[in-house]
This record gives sequence, C-alpha cells and structure tokens, in this order.
Amino acid sequence: MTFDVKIKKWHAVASWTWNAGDDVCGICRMPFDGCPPDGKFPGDDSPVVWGICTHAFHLQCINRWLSSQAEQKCPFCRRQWEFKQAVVGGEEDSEDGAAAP
Amino acid sequence: MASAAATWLQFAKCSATALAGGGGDGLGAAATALPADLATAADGVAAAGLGPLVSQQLLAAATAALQARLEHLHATLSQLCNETAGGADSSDDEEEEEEEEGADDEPAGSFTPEMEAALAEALRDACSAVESSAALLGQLCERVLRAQAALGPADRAALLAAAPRFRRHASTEVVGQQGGAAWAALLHRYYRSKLRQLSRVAAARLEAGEEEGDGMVEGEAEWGRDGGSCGGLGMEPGWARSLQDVAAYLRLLGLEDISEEAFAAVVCAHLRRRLVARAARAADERMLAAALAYSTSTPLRFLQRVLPQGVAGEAALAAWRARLGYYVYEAVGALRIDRLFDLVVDWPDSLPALEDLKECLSNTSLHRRLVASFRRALVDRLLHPGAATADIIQQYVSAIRALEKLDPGGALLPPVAAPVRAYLRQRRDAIRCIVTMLTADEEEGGDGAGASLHAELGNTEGTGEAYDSDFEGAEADVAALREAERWEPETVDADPSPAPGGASEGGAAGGGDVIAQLVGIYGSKELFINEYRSMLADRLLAKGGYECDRELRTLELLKLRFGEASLHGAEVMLKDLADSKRVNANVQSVPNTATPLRRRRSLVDIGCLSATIVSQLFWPQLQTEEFTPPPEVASMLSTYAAKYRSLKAPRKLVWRPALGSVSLDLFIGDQEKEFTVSPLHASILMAFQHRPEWPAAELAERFGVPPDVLRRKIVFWINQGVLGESRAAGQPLPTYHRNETLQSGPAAGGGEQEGLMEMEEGGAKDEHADMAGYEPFIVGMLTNFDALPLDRIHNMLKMFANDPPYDKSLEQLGAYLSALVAEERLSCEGGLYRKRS
Repeated sequence: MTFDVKIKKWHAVASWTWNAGDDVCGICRMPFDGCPPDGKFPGDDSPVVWGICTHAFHLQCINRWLSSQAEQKCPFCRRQWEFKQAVVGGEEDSEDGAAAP
Repeated sequence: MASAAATWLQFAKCSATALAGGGGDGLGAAATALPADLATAADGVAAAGLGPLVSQQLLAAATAALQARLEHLHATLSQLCNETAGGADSSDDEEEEEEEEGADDEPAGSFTPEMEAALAEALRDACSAVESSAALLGQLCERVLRAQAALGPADRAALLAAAPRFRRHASTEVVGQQGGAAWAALLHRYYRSKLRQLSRVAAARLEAGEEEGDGMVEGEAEWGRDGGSCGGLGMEPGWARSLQDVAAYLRLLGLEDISEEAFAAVVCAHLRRRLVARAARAADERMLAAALAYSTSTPLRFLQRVLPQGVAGEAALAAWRARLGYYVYEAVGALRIDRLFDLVVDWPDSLPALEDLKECLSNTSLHRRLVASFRRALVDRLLHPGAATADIIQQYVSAIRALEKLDPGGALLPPVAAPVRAYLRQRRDAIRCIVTMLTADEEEGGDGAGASLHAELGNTEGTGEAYDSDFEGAEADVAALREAERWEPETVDADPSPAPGGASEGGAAGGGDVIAQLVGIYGSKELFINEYRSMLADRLLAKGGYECDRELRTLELLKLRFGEASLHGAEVMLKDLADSKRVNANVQSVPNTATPLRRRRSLVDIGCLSATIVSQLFWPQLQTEEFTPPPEVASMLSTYAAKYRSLKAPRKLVWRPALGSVSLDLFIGDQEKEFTVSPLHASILMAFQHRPEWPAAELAERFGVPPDVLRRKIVFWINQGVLGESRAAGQPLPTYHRNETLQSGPAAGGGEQEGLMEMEEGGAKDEHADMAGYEPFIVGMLTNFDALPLDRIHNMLKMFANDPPYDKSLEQLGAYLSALVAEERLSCEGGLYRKRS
C-alpha cells in the first residue's frame, strides 16, 4: 500500500537581518534592521555599512556624518573611516548553519 | 292698579300661548307680524309702565315653552344614543379593519339612514322652536321698547338683550340633562358615519375610475374642479344636504363647540387610520405627498359641508386645510419615527420613508421625539449581549447614514449615537470587527457589510479635504459662493440633554463621515491602525503568494484618511511582499554552481520553495510557535538562505518555519488527495512517509514541539482519515499511525482546499477539550467570587490548579472562556465573567 507525500509548493516565511547584532545605529539610534530617520524603507533602501574599524552605521547616517566633518573619521573610535568591503563566502557556512537550523 | 294687573296677566297668557304654539313654522319664515292680541297686550303692558318686567317674564315663559318643545329632541337623542352606543366601545377597533378592507357591513354604533333622518328631524324641530321663540321674543321686546319710551338705560338694555339671552338659555336646554358628553359622543358617531360614507364612495369611484390610484391619491385637481357642488362626487345629493343641515342646525342651536370638537376628532382619526394602514404597508415608497393630497380631498370635502358656507366658511376651510397639512406631517413623522429602527435596518431600501421623515421634520418639531425614541429603540433592541458586534456596527453605520440623510446638519446624530459608542467601547472585538469591515474583500464578504464600508473608505476622500483648501484665483468667488449656499442653520433642539462628557467627539467629526465616526469611538486612530496591521499581517502571511493588489488599494485609501506616517508600517509590510516576489525570482535563478556557493556541502533543488521575506521590525509580533522542519525541508531552506545571502550579503535570512503554507498531494491507498496546510501539518505528514507509526512523544521531540501542540495539529489529519491514533493502556500519550487507506474520519469529506481553515477549527475545538479539565476550577471560583475578570481567573488557575497543572496562556484561557460563554455556561459583561444561573 502506498503512502506518499508529494510537496508541490512550500511557501515559507523568513525575516531578514543585517546581521549586525540587535544593536542600533550609533548615529540615528534606530535599529539597523529599521530605517534611519530620513529613510522610508528598511533593507535595500537603508543599507548598513561597516568601517574597517568594524563599527556599523546606516549608510545614510555615516554619509551625512562624513560630509559634515572635515576629516573622514569614525564617530565612535575616531579612526580614519574607510568602508569595509562586503565579505561574501568565508564565514557564511557557519552563519547559515545558525540561521537555518 | 287692578287694571295694570289684568293687563299684565293678559299679556302673560297671550305670550305664553304664542311661544308654546311656536308662532308658525319658525325657521326662515319667522313671524313677520305679531298676533294682534299679543300686540295689544304688549301695548297695554307698556302703557301700564310694566316694561321693565317684560324681559324677565318673557324669558321664563319662552324657556318653559322650549323645554316642552325640546322633549321630542331629547327623546330622539337618547334613543339614538342607545341605539348607536351598543357597539361603541368596540367600534374603534373594528373600524380599522372596516376602513382597510372597505367592507360593506356597518360596524355596530354607526348610523342608519333612518337614524340620520331622525336626528336631522329632531334638530330641525328644535331649531325651529328656538328660532321662532327668539323671533317672537325679539319682536315683543321691541314693541314694548317702542311703546314705553321712558325706560331707564338698564331696562332698555335688558329688553334688547332678551333674545340673545334666550338663545343662550336655549343651548343649555338643548344640551339638556344628558349633558355635553352624550352629545359629543353622538355627534362623533354621526360625523364618523358620514365621513365613512363619503370615503367609501370616493374609494369606489377611484377604483372604478383610475385603477392605478391607491386610495390616497384622489386628485386635488378633481377637488378643485368640483368646487362647491357635490354632484361630481357621485354622492347622492342627500348626503351633503343632510350633513350641511345638521351642521347648520347645530350652529344655530349654539352647539358649535361640541360639534367642531366632534368633527375635528373624526377627521383626524380618519386621517390617522389611513396613514397608519399606509405606513405599515410600505417603507420603500414615499407616502407623504400622497398623504398630503389625500388630506385635501376626502376630509376637506367633508369639512366643506360641515363648516358654515360663505365667506366665513372659506376662511375656516383654509385654516383647516393648513391644519390638516400639519396634522399629516406630524402623523407621518410620528409613524416613521416609531419605526425608525426598522427603517435603519432596511437601509438603503427604506430611503423613501426616510425622505418622508426628513420633510416631516422640516415642517414640524419632532426632532426631540426622534432622538428620544430612536435612542430607546437602539438601547432596547441593539445594545444587549445577544447582538453580534458586527450587527451593532452595521446598524450604527446605517444609522449614521440615515440620520445624515434626515439632518445634514448632523445635530441628530451625536445624542443618538452616544449610547452606541459607549457600548461599542466595551466590546472587545469591536475594533477587529470594524477593521475587518473596512478592509474586507467585496468578493469574499457575503454579508455585504464589509463591502459597503470598504466603499465608504473610497468615496469619502473627496468630501474631507476639498473644502478645507484655501480658495485661490479666479474660482475663489464661485467656490465661496457655493460654500455659502450650502450653509444651513443647525437644528438646535435635537438633544434634550447635553451629551455627557463628549460633546465634541461626535459633533466635530461631522455627520456623515462614517469612518471618522467609527474611529472616533475610541478617540484615537492608533488602536485601529495596530489592529489593521495585525490583520494585514495575518492575511499576507496566509497567502502563500505575493498577490496584494487589493491590500495595496486599501492601504492607499487608508493613507488618505489616516495620514502616511501612521501607516508607514503597513506600507513596509506590503513593500516586503513586493520585494519578496522579486527576490524570490532572483534566488530561484541563482544556479547551484554559482561561485560563492560552490563550496557548500549540500545544495538541493529549491524549485518548489518560495518565501515571503519580512522586515521584522515593521511587522506585528509574529507567531512564535516554532518547530524543527524535516531534514529535506531544512536543506531546502538552507539552500535558499545561502542563495539569498549570495545576493544580498551581508544580510541573511532567519526562517520562521511555522509560518507559511504548503500545498501537497497525498497518495494513500489508491487515492490521491490535495491539501493546502500549514508547514507543521505538512511536516507531520512527511514524517509518516518513512515510518508508519510514531509514538507521540518521539514525534513531538522530532519537531521540537510540546505533545499537546502536536496533538492539536495532528487532529486535522485524524479528522481527514489520513492518520489514526491508538492509545495503549497506562500510556499517557497516544501513538499515531498512518492509515493504509483513507478512512472516513469524523470530519472526512470536508473540502480538501479548506484544509487550512478546518485545521484551525479542529485545533480550536481540541484546545477547548484540553481546557475542559479546568472548568470545575473556574466554576468554583465564580461561585465563590461572583464575578471575575479574565486575568484574575488566569492567575488563580496558575496558583491553584495542579491536576491537571495549568500551563495555558491568557489568550487560550480567554478563548476557552468565550467558548463557555457561547455555550451559555458563563456570561461575560464588561470584562467580568459570571456564572450563569
């Protein structure tokens, strides 16, 4: 006798996160997964960026900060601000393991 | 002196004879000349200087003579009273039927033609007696006055006044011992019977003539054309003649007041009966115009006969015309007001009736009555625990619209709405209901209520802002003028008492803005928006797809009303859906061989997997119930997440395995069935694919959920006849096994596509079965404490219920208690639960 289940379509629900911890942006004090005061939508429209000093901010926030300053420095640690390149691969495996158990 | 006495006696004798004899036929042909002997006697009296005594004597003699002559009248009167009074008590009831059916049989207490004739005859006699006596009296006094020139002013006055005084005496005499009441009753019956005859003839004529007429519309034109003549009416001429005569006699006899009272009552009662019958018949057509036309036809025709002819009569008739018009307004208004609750229920079919009422309101001052009566009806019929919240809201909405129609100024609404609003504030599901109605699909809502509210959302946008904007440029004057023309004075007297505490809450919102009214119940829009968001979240997550055009439209409408900022969250939610659709397509197109993924251990085909990816912070708290998906699904999920990450780094996905929906085909025995279920349901089924039998504990552990949650889910499959449950003796938890062929389970045969819904229901029922163990605790508690709020019951259960231990959430308990309320074992009022006695 047969007992067979065939999944035709599995519609799942997920939430995304910037993976920047539960923290808030140090400039606008809004959550990283939210949007800065002048941003309308979170996610693609309100990206989060890291400096080489490993501090993270909303892109809009740090840009405004940098344009208002004479020197390009991280507002937290005062080190020279440089955007850290987005890292793809590498640590990903372990993270995925955590994200999708 | 002796000769003077003799003269006096002679005079007294002569005058008494003359008065008793009636002096001819009286009426009209009043004695033109005094009988010779009487004239001589009068002269003698005057010569003897006895003039001052004459008036007194004559008055007494005339009254005595009249009494004798009125005996006939009184006899007739009491006879008629007896004959007609038999059914007088019941006649009012019977009349209505008679009137309505137009039946021919006369109800008891009405007049036969013979009786009418007798009445007219008796009245005529009495009139002629009074008239002739009065004439005689007048002539005698005049003669005495002329003969005896040297009279004091007082005596002259007495002589001149003798005839009028006699008339006054006469009317007292005519009223007689029976008193005014008997007359009034008799005349009432008489007029009623006459009016009925007229109305019957008119109705018959109408039926014969114009079929389309309905008894109300007896053309005014016809009335005008006929003018004074009654021939055009088809009534036998005798009818008008006798009525006119009787009325004239009554006037002559000084019974005008009684008569007028009687016919006024008759006409009003007649009209009222007409209107009541008519109003009961139809609320969906207007009756006012027809009623007004009717009031000027039959009743006015009747009145024309009853009222004096000539110029005075014209004036009286005009006054009556106005009076009847007002009476119609008032009566129709009152009738409509009494049924206003039903009219509101029938909105918008009852629109014609409401238009009637509006016109009545503008011509009368029934506002206060309307407010009081409608308010009472609402409280009595609507605001009680038996009414469903959706019905209350629906009725409230209809009331808003109906009252807006009645009184565009909006003064009627706040006092009427106050109790409804106060009551809705107490109902906990009111917000959810309102939001559902606002956002419900036209297609899916079978009740039509939601559809209408949703339409409201759309069509109010024009009314709100347009008039607030500053007028500029060339159109300013035109616009201002239009604005000024729209102004109407407020109806001031609508509210008998100032609204308690909330004068501004309803009034400021403006009458017809249904949504503002509904939202205003709670004073702020936040509650609504939160409820809207949580419902939107449920709806979007249950979709299993990305279609949300309708939600977008609703959102746009809501944004117009509530402002963009407050709906930002909802906007993000909908954008998430749109983004998910795009991202899903992108993720699907990433090949498993793409560069950054090459090093992955296990990449599987994810063709059947799609995902809704939400911006968590902008969604309401998502369902927290989590479970571990089966490995084959987990690997799909992780593949999907890896591909997402390859596209969107450094962002990553956090799965919510319990949310979403799964459609699957089940092959069981020789059958194939299709289901759309929740992920956990699907996972359970998949577990049985590899193993025919699972002990509950093991299966629960596999999914990482408590056994009771598992059971709640699995009941769906048991009901579908797919799985079975067996319980070994002594084992606390059952063992589940798959059926080799589809069993006709308890709920088998339910549509497969509705699996999702049935699952919820099944789960809920099962949950209550779960809770049943606590019922004795709850009942005991409510016996001791009389009434308790939900949270106290919850806390006490936590403290005292050990067997079975209490591990339910507040929401679960609330659901269970409402189930008990629905079963009428408990009652809930104002958040307090009580035992039902």
